[in-house]
Parts: sequence; structure tokens; C-alpha cells
Amino acid sequence: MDRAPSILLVGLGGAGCAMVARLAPGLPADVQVLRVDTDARLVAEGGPGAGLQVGRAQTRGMGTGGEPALGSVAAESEEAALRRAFTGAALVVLVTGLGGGTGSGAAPVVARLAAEAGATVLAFATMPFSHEGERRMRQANEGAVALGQKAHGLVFVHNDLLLQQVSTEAPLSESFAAADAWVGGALRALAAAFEPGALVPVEPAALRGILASPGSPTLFAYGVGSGPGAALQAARAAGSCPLAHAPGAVTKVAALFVSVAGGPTMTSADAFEAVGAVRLRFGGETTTLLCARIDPSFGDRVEVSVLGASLPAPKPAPKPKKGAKAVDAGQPLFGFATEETMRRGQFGGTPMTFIEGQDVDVPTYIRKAVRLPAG
Amino acid sequence: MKPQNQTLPSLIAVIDVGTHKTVGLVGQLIDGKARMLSYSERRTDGVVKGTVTDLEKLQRCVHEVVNDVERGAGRALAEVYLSMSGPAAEGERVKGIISVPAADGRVTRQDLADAVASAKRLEPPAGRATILYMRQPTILDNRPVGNPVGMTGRRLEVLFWRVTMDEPNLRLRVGMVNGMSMMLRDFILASHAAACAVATEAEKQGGVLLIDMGAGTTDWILYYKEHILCAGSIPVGGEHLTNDLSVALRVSRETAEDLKQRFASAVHRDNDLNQTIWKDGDRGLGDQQFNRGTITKVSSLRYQETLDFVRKDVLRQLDQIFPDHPTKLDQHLLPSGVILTGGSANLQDAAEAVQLVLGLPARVGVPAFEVESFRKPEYAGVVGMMTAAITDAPPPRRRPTGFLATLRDLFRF
Amino acid sequence: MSLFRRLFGKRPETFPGQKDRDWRALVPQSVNPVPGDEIGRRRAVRSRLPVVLAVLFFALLGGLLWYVVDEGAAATPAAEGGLRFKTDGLLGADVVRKVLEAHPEGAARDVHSIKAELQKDNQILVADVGRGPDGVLNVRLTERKAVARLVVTPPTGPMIVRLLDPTGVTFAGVGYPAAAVRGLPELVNYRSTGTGDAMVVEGAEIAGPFLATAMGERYRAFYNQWAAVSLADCFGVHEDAPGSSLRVVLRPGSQPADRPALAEVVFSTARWREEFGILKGLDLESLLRRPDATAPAYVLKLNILNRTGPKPVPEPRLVPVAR
Repeated sequence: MDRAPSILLVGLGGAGCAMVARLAPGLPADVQVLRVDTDARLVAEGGPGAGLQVGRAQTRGMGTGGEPALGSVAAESEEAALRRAFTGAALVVLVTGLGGGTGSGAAPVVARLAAEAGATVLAFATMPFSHEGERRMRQANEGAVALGQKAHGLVFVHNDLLLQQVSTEAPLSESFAAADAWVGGALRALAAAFEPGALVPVEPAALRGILASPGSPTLFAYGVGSGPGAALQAARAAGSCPLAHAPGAVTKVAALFVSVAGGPTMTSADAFEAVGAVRLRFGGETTTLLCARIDPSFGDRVEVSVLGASLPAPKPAPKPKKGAKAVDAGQPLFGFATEETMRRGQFGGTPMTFIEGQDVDVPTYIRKAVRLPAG
Repeated sequence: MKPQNQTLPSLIAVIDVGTHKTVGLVGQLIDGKARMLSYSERRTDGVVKGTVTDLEKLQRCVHEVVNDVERGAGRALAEVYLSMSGPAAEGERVKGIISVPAADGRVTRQDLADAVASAKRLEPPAGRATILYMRQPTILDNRPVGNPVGMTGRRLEVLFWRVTMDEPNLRLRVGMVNGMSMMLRDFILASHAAACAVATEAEKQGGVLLIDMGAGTTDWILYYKEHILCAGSIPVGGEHLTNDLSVALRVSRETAEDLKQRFASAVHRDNDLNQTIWKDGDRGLGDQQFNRGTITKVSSLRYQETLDFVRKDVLRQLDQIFPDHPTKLDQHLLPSGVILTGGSANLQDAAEAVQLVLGLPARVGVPAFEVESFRKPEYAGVVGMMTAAITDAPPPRRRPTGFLATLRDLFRF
Repeated sequence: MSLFRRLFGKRPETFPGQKDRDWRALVPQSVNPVPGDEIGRRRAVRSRLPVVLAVLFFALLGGLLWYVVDEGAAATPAAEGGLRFKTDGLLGADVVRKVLEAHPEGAARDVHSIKAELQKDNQILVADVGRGPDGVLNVRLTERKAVARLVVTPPTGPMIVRLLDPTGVTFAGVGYPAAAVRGLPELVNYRSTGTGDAMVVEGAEIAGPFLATAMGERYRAFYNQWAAVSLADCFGVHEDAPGSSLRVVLRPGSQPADRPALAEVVFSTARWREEFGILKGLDLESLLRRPDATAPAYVLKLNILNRTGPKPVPEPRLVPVAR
């Protein structure tokens, strides 16, 4: 049947599937859900969408036990099934938790397969807490590097940052709720782009154009506002979203995709004002795609989602330089902002230092979950 | 091991390659004292957290420094001393034990030499090369003595603090110096050099812990009874402080660096929260305001955590040295307390933070030097290297005088 | 791992002992004297510049001094005639004076033309002419050596005796005492073209070196006995043939009277060098005093080859002189 191109939300690994399960009720109708895991019980237990068990032979229905190698082999064993699942999807949103076996090991493989099937791949990956120890952190780092090379867009959610979002007395589930809100907001924004009947429509192909290069750092921000001046409020909230302020995150991008969703009271003037504020904050000189939609259920709430990437610079003609080293094939197009520098900031490229099991390059106040005074 | 027949040339060139800056200093040995001829300083390129990430940039930077000091001194440099610090230079204690052969237990010079040889025979860890040995007190029948020759005892232990470097790093540094048409005369331990510059003899005699907190690493060295007891390095430094601030305040690195120098503190006080700071100070367009409390909280957390790492490292090493009785870091062991140097010692209330974390009195060490601009904690390393180079090397060789040399001087400009 | 890789691949580092662990032994320093980059070049230039400048300065100074002196020397007139003359032969200074007087400029003449004029004389091999700073003419001559004498009979006029040098050039032999000239062996049966200094003697290119070798230390004893060297068998039908030979006539009075005399020695033109050696090795006295040496005079032929074997062996023979 000829319908609007579809979005496929893939949850990979235990953490990914759990997040997808939490998100599924609030998703728009045309977002398909797929849960991929090695643990047969989790896959079969139900929950929304289809489930796919990978690595039957390798793990025999159990988890990978934190071995990324096992995870990647498991994913490769179900290559055909995965490819079938990806055909027809225009956009694949991959949600995974790095550090474990399935998440770190299978994610690059799944991203590669999805990209080969012709979809644009946007991955949301969570990085483990500092307290989870050295081994998980190292595995997460390696998985992140591999995933960054295969996925078109990669957004990191540092678990440490989540603790900053909630007060010290709040239960842990509340901190995960913050992450859910972000990813949910992203999905709604992307789904809206593909839906016909928006206030200002956007071509899915153009959206794809923004994310087109693997390895370039991806910016994602999300904000909500309510009441009078909600649009501007939401835009400002997006501007100070912690996801955009992870260590080393890129702050100015060349191409932006801004999605504004509001209730019936929102006017196009409001929407454009919001976009203006976002552009002031994030750049977007080369391209800014605006998608606005009205959702009656919102009331006076306005939601702003921002997705951005820097377009790759046109590759200059190779000048033979005296003593020039051979270009590393694995390196992304522009050397200055590799995926690792985006995550680890200025310490990207140096080995990770662990003292007492913690990565000391991560700011102390984040690791000790100290909430900073506002302002 | 320094070959004994090499004489020290009268020009002493030292280069301290740090994470933040590279400083070169050239001095002349006159009457046993060093007189400075020229100095130069550049921002280091290509070093992060004490490890080399871009060799070409580093080479160019060091070469520029060498060029500058050569031009200032008016003479070509043939030999240079290089500093070593951070994770590259690891140290450990080596022991040589012999039982005194003489019947009456008298220790002879030969016995001492045998013990020294037996200590130096121990193999360093795999893939690492020995750089230098530093003498530690000799122990005769579990009593530390200054000079055991002539005394009586049964068991003679000679201890050294041996510093090793891993081979790739070693080749890198030697290759870098050789590529600049110079000979690497010797390595100098940066923390030891800093101590030479800021710690007095009395302090070293009593017992002092020196913490050199630079941009990329924090090196510490503990002196007891005038000898070095142990040393170590933590790969956290001032860069981490800046990074923390940059993430917390969501500003660029340059802004964070500026804010750090102006407003950050090693101790967080509650009334800091009441202060508001403007970034540019003129409240114009693009200016941002911050709460001083946030800045001090972030910086104090990082600073005190680093000091805590140092404390744990010191205790761990002391436990290895004195396994029988647990040591405490207190004034009993270190009557002279702690000396703080390095760029990050400039942080406000740094000494107070040390007192809080380590429980010892602390002062910020500043080197004495002819040039005004070098009398700051971050230059303790390079100033001390000059002193360390002179003390660790034999007497100087006369500069060649004669027709040819005079001729060369005539035409020098 | 394949055998190739094991044999030719990089071997892993092995540390044999403590000595190699010392960093100086482990990583020997090799200071690179060639500057690798821009800054290195600048440094190298700056450190070498003083020496280079000093060298240039002194070279310039030296050149300046030389120029001044040289120019000064040319300025003083050379009219008053100092002449410093030296020769390794027998010529006198009047040779030079004759050349000087022949030209209107006289002693003030150009040094090069004097030299050219002097070297036209066959007897002078090389003439070194220079003018000193005081205007005095310094002449040093290298003359040709005489190895033999020739008697030239011109169509009109008396006989002329000329001397031959090792390269085959004849010269007048000015200044030679008569006794010395008589002592030289005479070259007979030669062919020549031209007269005077332009004379070309055919066969001198063989006889010249031959006589020069004979005059040397080793064979001087033989040379002193020689009266003449005949080139009779060098030309005509013998020319360039295996039989081509040089006949050396010995002086009759140079030998003891109680044995048959040795009248001639015959050398071959091709192998006279080896034959000198053979001659020196021969015990002539015992050969000539043998009981069967009954003829009054013998000819020693050095160029007989015994061809009875595959490799011909030289076999000198004493042949009685045909009456």
C-alpha cells in the first residue's frame, strides 16, 4: 500500500528495549517498533511492537553477559531477518544502552545493516554511569566509536547527566524519565516530519540530507514550554538542554532541523519566533528545516525539538605534502571533530584514565552526582 | 648512571616540556653558580594529559624554543637536559642487600659498592628502561645511617629510587632531541627539580611532601631525611579543572580558563553562592552571568578530589615501604608539611584545601630567580632543573679560549 | 608464522641484561647533523655563519693583498737588466740574452713571449720565465738529456754532430764538452728527414727509449761499453718483422784482452726490455772463456727464440763473427 514513508524505532539490548517499552504508548501511530535482544524471555514477554531474538546459537536465549564480541556475532547471525525488518523504512531510530554486550557489540552491526538497506540511521546511545566501573566504560567507549562510524546521526545520553536533572531525593526512575522525555520528543518530531498535513511540511529526503554523513557529530536538543510565550520558552529550554552541553558537544552546527509542535493556540508567528531563538543559539546558517504541527491534545504546551549536524566540508584536492601520512580510512571526513572529541571533549584521542574504576576525565561534580546551584 | 668521565660544559640548557607550556632556559656556570643567559617560553602543542598526541606539533614547538634560547644566548647548543614527568616516568624502590662479610662486622667501601651493584642489577619492568637512580638512606641492621663505611653491623641494605620510562616514550624523546641536532645529556625528574627550586635543605631534612600540580598531571615527591623516599604521578591537572568548568557552565574552554583564573577557588564557601559574576564584566550584549558558588563548587570538588588521589597514592606507597607499621600522613612523618607548586597552585585557597584534605600544613612554593617573571609556581620546574643539572654533574670544563674561539666571537652577532 | 616472516621479519626486541636496560645503551643517540626542518636550517646557518664570515673575510683580505702586490709589481719598470738564470743542463745565460736582444723591447719584453722564444730551441725542454717584484727576470731552464750522438752530413759544409734525447728529438748540444760528446754512443744507419732542429730521425722512437733505459742505473755498466747503435736491421725488409733488431757495437778497448772479444750485442726491437734482463743475468765472462770459444770475436744474439716447445723460450747465443 502506498503510504507515507515509515519510521522504525529499534530498541537494542536490555536498556534499549526497556526504554522502547516505556515510550511506545505515547508514540504516533505510524511509528513501528522493533525490539531486538539476545534474551529470549525479554523478547517474548511482550510489550509493544515486534520482537526479534538474535544470537540463538551463541547465547541460547540468555543475555550476552556483557561481552560485546558476543553481541556483534549474535547480530550478524540474524542478518537476514534484520535486513527484512529494515526494508521499507525511511528512517530507523536506534535506541541502545552502551557498556553491555548487546548494546555495545550489536549496535554497530545493526546500524550498518539498516544503512545498507537504504534507511537513514539515527542512534540514541546511553553511556553508563561513572560508578559502573572501568570495564563497562571502556566497552562503551569502543562501542561508541564503532557505532559513530556506521550510523548517520548519533546522540549521546550520559547517564551521569541524568542525575543532574532531578533533585537528590528523587527516585531513580525519575531520572530515567528525563531521558525518556528527550527521546520521545525526538521521535514525535521526526514522525511529524513524515506525516502529511503539517502546518509547515518538510521533505523526508531533506531531513535525510542533514544527517547524511556518518561520523559527524550530531546535535540534539529538546525543550518544552507552556502558557503565554510558550514557544519562546520552549526554544530557550531547548537552548539550555543538557544534551547539548555534554563534555565536548558541538554548539554550533551548519544544518538544523527544528520541529515545533503546539496546541491550537499556537500561531505561525510564535513558531517562527521560536525558530529564530533556536537559530541564534545553534547556528544553522547553511540549512534550516522547519516543521511545525498542531496537535489538539497539547493545549497550551509547546514542544521544540532540534536536530542538527555539520555538513561535511567538500573534500579538498589532495596536495602532496612533504612527509604527509597516509589518511586513515577509518577517520571521518573532518579531522577536527571526531565522534570521540565530541564525547570526551579535549581528551578525545588520549587513553582513558581510570582511578578506582572511575573515568577521571569526566567532571568530578557529575561523577559525584553533585547538583549545582541554579544560575 | 652517568658516565663519570663526561665533564659538564659551561653552558647548561634545560627544557621543561609541560602540557600547557614549554620553557627553555640557558645558563652559564660561573664560580659554581648558574647565571642565566636566555630563556624562552611557548605554548605546548600536541600534549594532552601529559601524553604526546601529536609529535610533529610538539617537535616544532620545542624547536622554536630552542631556536629562541640559542639566539638569546648567542651560542649554538650542543647538549640539552630534558624534563620527565607524568605517567611516562614511573618510579619504584630497588633494594640491594648484602650481609657484611667481615668477621667483626665492619663495613668496608667494597661492601657498599657490592650492595650498590646488587641493587642496580635488578631488572626494570618489561619494556621499560632505567633512566636514573636516586640515593636513599642506607640501612644497617634496620637503622638508617648516612655513611655506613666504618660502622659495624650484620645486614647492609642499600636503597635507590629508580625511575624508568617505557621504551616508545624514550625513543620519542631521544629522537626528538637528536632530530634537532643536539645531544640529550640527561633526563631530570620534574618533581625533583621543582623541589630543588622551592624546598629548602631544612625542609628536606625534616620531611616534606611536594605536590607539583601542572596543567596535565600532578606529580608528587616525598623527601625524608634529605633523601627522596617515594614519588608518584596522577594524570589529572589544571586542564581537568578548566574542562569541568566548561561543562558545568556551558561555556567555551577559553572562557572557562579565564573564569577559573579569576574566580575559581579550591575551597567552597557558602557565601559564594550569594555572589553573581558577569563574564565580561561590562554587562553588554553577549555577556553572561554566573553564580560564583557554582564555579567554586565545581573547582573545589575537582581540586580536592585530585588531592585525595594524591593522598591515597602516597599512603599506598608508604605502606609498601613500611609494611610492618601503618603510616599516617601527619606532622610526625612530615614536619615541614606540604609544598604546593605548579600552575594550579595559583588557585585561590589552594593551601587551605591541602590542609583540609591531607591534614598537613601547606605553603605555596615560589622559586627564586633573577628574572621577575619566573618567580611564579609554574616555573619552579624549569628553574629547579638548572640547579638539579649542576648538582648531579661533575665539575665544569673550561671553555676553549684561543685564537679560533676569539675569532668566532669577533664574528658573532 | 611463515618461515619467510620469521627469517626476514622484524625480530622482537630482546634485552639480554642489565647493561642494556640503561637508557643510554638501549637507545644510542645519533645526533642528526643535517637540519630537518625550517627552524633547524635557521639554527644551522646562525651557528655556522661566524666561521663562514671569518673565512670569507680572511680570503678577501688575502686576495686584496695579493692584488695590491701584483699590481705593484707590474708598475715598476724592468728596464735595468737584472737577470737570474738557472739551468739543469749545460746552457749558458747568453741564450737568454740573445733572445732578449733580438727584440726591440729588450728586457722589458713580455714574459710569455720570452718563454715562447726560448722554447723554440730544441735543447730547452721547458723554460720557466718570471719577473720578480724588483723587475729582475728569473729564468729557469730544463734541458733535454742526451742519450746518443748523431753525425749529420749536409750536402755542403762540414759534418755536424747533434745529440739525441730519449724522445727522439735532436738538438745541437751547445755547451757540451767534446769528451762528453765522444763518450756518447753513436747512432748509425739511421734515416732522417729535415735538417737542424726540425730534423726527424726515423727509428729514434725505438732507439731513444732503448738508450735511455741503458743509461739507467741498472744497466749503466753495459752502456759505458757501447760505441754505437745500428739501426740497419730496423728498416727495409726487416722493418716491423720478427727479425727486426738493434745492433749494439761494443767498444773494442772496453774488454779484457785474454779472451775472445764481444763485438756486438743484438737486441730485438720488440722485446729489448726483457733482453736487458737476460743480459744482466748472463755470466759473459765464463761463457767467453769456455774451452770451445776459439773465434777471435763473437756476436751475442739475445733474440733467438727456441721454438722446440709449445711456448718459445728465449735462448741467447754466441755466434762467431763472420770474417
